Amino acid sequence: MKPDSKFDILVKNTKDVNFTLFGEAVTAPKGSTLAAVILSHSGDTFRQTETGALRSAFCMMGVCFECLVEVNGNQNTQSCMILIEDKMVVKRQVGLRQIEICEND
Amino acid sequence: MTDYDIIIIGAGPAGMSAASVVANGGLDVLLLDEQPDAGGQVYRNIKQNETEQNWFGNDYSSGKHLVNAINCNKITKYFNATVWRVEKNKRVIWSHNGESKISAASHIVLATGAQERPFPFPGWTLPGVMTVGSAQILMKSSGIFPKEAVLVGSGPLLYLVATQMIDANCPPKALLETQTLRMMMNSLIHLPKALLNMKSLIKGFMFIQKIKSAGVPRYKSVSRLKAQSSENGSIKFLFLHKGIRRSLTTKLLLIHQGVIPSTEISRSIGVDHSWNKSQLAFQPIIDKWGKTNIDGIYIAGDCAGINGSNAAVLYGKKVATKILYETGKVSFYFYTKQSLCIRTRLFFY
Amino acid sequence: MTDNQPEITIIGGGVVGLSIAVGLLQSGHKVIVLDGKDNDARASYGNFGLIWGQGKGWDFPPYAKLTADAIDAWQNFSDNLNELSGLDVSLDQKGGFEFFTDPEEFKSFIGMLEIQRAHAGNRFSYESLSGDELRKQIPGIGTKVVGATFSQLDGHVNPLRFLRALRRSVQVLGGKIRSNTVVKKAKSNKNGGFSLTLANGKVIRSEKVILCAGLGTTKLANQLAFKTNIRPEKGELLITEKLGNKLPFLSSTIRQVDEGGVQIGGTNADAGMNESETLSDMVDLARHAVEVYPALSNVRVLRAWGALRIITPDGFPVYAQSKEYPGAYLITCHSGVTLASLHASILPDWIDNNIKAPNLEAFNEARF
Repeated sequence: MKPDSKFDILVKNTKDVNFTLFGEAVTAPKGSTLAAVILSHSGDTFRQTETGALRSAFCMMGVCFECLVEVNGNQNTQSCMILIEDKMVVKRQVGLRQIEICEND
Repeated sequence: MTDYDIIIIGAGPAGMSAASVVANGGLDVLLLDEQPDAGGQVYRNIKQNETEQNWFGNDYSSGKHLVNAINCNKITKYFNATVWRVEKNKRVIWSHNGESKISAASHIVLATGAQERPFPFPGWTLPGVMTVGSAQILMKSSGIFPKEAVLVGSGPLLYLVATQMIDANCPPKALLETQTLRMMMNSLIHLPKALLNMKSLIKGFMFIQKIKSAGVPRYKSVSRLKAQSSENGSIKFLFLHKGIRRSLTTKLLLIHQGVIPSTEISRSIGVDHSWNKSQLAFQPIIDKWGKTNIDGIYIAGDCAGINGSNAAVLYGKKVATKILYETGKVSFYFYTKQSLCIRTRLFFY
Repeated sequence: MTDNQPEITIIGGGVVGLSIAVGLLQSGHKVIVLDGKDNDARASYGNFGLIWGQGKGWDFPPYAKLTADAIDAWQNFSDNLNELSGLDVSLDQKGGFEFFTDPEEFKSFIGMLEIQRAHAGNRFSYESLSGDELRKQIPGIGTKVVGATFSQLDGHVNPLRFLRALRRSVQVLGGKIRSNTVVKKAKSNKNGGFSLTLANGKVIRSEKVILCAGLGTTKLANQLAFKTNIRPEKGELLITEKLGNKLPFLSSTIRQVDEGGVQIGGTNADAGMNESETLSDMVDLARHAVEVYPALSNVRVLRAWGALRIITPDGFPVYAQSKEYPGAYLITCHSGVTLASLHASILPDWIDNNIKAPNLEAFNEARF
């Protein structure tokens, strides 16, 4: 049961971007930052630190690095600094960034 | 060999103002900002917010003409551009869409603005604790407002956002002020200058009246702050008030202790900085034109010292005028006339 | 002993000075460390944390032996620091690689290691692997790597935690560290001991003086009749965001700190006293890292910085006692982390000149 958002949406902009947020299909207005959509969609936290602490967005302007999520496979992405796009796949960031090791053939 | 005459880092009030003035003077500008669009923090999302809500007041709508002014062919703009290195020889190295670029200019203007002063207390990293500035960004950019929020801290933004929330019918649950009577007495030495800025003082007074009329509980001189997580993702906020330990449970805790100049780039280049005792922040050392100790590198706006967005616009204009004069694009007469005009207006900030 | 009349004054509070202080304090001496300012040229702040043997002393046998001794002594040293300071410096001595993308360089380095093995007997050994053998052993190594050498005894520690552990250990042992304390003049006193004049004019008198102030040493060294001239050599480093993956190797140019960030270094430049990082070196470091381990190509770089290494005329350590002014010592090297274990163990005996004193004659100034 995901927690309710802590925010009310007072300006009803047209929801015209479709993407996947934490496993769920979501639509939201074009021009929104990803962090804003995450906050208005639910009370879910953005990530879990290496030591297991839960974190969410803090400054919304790119200086605190708390709003990190995985976007289209790219971890440690500051969600307050990017706009949502169609077909984006957003996942929670759990622990430190894991890179994919490319094995040679 | 330069790619542009001027590179301006930051498209907030100071950066936009400087860009439009030098572009009008005939110089080629590269304008870079790490945000998805122009406006800085103050004029966030101003293009989209052309609707009727007047939650944000007249100051906000005056940013519109600035954003329009940078749509000119002498200004090359890049957003979501991260500047990660600025060299003394005036090369700027920046990333955009995963690619790094090197751009050289004969002048660089840093207009990187301000950020919240970090305000740590136990529990400040819990989900649901956010800055007052972030709440304002959410209101401006996305039209979303806190369902239930306690505001704590000090500084003008605290009251401004409280009144914006009241106007939008989402009043704060409580307003907690951390400044003590002693601190307020100490700040009285700044009163004479503040008196000249009657408009601001009256605005401030009206904010407080509005907060009172809305019935928002106000706690003064709070201390010993502590946030703990509570059920359903809420926050239990503990504090000391008039000698008694109190607690408030809230969905959101919005915190603020003023803003400080963003000096990451200026410090990394090697610009000299000094500690501003009254603003309790480091700021770059500049002359009245925004010139630094490094040839060709100028600074304008709040990243040189906090004076607000209206002053930032003027400082941007000042730096631009100086550069136009130095590059021979304007006459000495124009330069001195403009400078006097800007200086006079700046007197009130 | 008062603050003004310590038994032994160590000038320089970096890795070398603090390690020597720990050793002297543990053998019962009264020690004070005088350390310069935060923005002095401090090589220790840029330390890479390597405890490295391969390639050292192939052209100077005493150094090959000294390095082998130092590597042997590190586990005890780390345990000692942990007991004193409560800090674990994350010592990892499971072996390290040198990677090569140029076949000529690879061949020539193997030649050096062969000579090093001959000098050190069974105290040093290594393996060489072709690029293909390496890729079988470590999947993910880039195709541009033509070969690598591996030495089982090479290792590393957490660079900043090591500095912190040293400082705390000195303090726990009762040694005093005075920061922002620049020594302007050093002179020997007629009735024994030395007078050190500080930048603020105060004078400290001390029975013995140990100069190990890295790049700040030369002027004072000359005043005490030492001949060694030290020159700076700049190295640059990059550090990346912390990764959850464990990097499957340690090399002298690419290594992962225990907290997860990957450190990339290994440039050498003659830049005088200018320790600023340069874009071209940063680019070279990044390119090298991606060539060796392509999976790093999308990793974010958080910081880049430069630091000045301490290079003696022949690049090897100097352990010198002043003949003209007995009681004055000069100690300088650029492998301050590797040698720290010896600085804390055998050097006090050398300074005391007791029966356990090691023979460090090969490292005195007579060779210049």
